[in-house]
Amino acid sequence: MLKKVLSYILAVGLVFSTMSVVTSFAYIEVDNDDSQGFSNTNNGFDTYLTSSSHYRGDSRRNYNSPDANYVYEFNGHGKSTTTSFKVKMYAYLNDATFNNPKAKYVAYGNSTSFLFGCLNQNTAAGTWNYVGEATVKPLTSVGYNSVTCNSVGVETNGIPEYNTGYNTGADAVRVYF
Amino acid sequence: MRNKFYSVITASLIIATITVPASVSLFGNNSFYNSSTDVIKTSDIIENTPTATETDSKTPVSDIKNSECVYNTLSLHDNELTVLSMDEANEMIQNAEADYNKNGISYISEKKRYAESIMSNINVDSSINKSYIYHMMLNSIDYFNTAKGSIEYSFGGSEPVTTEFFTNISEQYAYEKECLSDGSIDELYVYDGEGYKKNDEYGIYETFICSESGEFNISDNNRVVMLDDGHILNINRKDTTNLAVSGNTCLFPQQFAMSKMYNFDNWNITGYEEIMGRNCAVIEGVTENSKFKMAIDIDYGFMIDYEELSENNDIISYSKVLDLKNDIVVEKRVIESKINNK
Repeated sequence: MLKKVLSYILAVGLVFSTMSVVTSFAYIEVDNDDSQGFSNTNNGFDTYLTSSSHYRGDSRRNYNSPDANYVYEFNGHGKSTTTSFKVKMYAYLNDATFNNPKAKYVAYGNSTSFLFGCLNQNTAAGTWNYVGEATVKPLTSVGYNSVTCNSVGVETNGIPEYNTGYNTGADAVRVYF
Repeated sequence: MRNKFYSVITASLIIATITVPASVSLFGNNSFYNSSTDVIKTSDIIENTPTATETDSKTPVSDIKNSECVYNTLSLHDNELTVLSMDEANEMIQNAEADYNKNGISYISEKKRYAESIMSNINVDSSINKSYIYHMMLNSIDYFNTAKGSIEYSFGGSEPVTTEFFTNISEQYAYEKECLSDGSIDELYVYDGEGYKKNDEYGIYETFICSESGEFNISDNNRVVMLDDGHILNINRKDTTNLAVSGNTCLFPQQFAMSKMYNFDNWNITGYEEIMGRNCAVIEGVTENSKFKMAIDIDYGFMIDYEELSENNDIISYSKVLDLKNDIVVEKRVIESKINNK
């Protein structure tokens, strides 16, 4: 009987340990000017900022470009599929000069962008923000049979050719597949 | 005796195995969902809900938008933040998505009564009144379906921009036109799951794919949580208005609520004002380096007016609604014709 009880306790333990494995998650974290194994492509975020309020002490800023973007790349750690998948994105912002009210956060694949959502960086500053979920899928209508997502980005989402006085910030992001 | 003892232990373990997974909360007493509160049947509410008309913008048509929805009592706000790891927060969002997919939108019941309470006791700064306003700002998209209007805004000293917009949430199409003072125009179209940006000079110069998923039910108290590294996490709901700036600045001001109003000690309801025929609560509050004043539509949670002021009372940022109608007919053919003229 003692053996039966011990076996049962072991079985219960196994169930709980399995549950913890099933519910575990792992995110990809990419900072601006990442030096932790990932990389970035900078299209117009030319101002390099340093401050203890920024994630790992630094961030990037664009001023007034209508179509600039800052890309967070995680080649080899992304996802590829012939169907569709979901990606969740978190963005860190903590700089009082960021004031773009419609900074656009996207995932890239099939030479297009899949929308997570827009943040008012003037309002959202000072914290991590869950931006949203993108549904990434092959664009079969234009000839793609599969899609690979190895990067996400923030876009200034501005009005072409006109200066609006927006500062758009790029600091760390976290991505869950 | 010994056999009896083992039998009791075995029985206890079996009961524990059956019951614990269903009752264990990873986050203490903080509930993920409103579903832990008292649930009232939809039919109880529908019978007492006025029917919407195209012309009555005050009528809360969204109370009858989804006849299969679940109504919950309003959660009173708690300034104490739930502490989670990022993985736990992400798991919370995933579970909340599953809840939404299973049960649909989680409305609060007796919305009309809360609104009337605020209007009749507008200067009574009760936690119920504050919790109601906070809830409406965090979840305004649940309480209307279509909207059309225009706003003017400037943030952090940027050039003032006037934006015209319309949106249809249930059919997922939207249009937004931004106009600068020099007459330049930029347009956003969202239609059939895709977004298009267009202007007179370039035509359609950018497209993107809208998300097909990502809606969730998370209790108001868990929309802002503290991560275990000490950082705050604001959890944005999917902006189903599909508007780049008119959504977050007017129709769905969740980001303002989370960043400036989570701590109820930092703001008060200081009055009542009727603006463009809308019943608005006047909110005044402070942040670390500034103070703010806003007018919130009591019936819908729209942000009608907003001003952020420096300590010297200089305006840092503002937005104001110039025109707004909701739950009117916004015909799909309007955006279809705009798209076809691309």
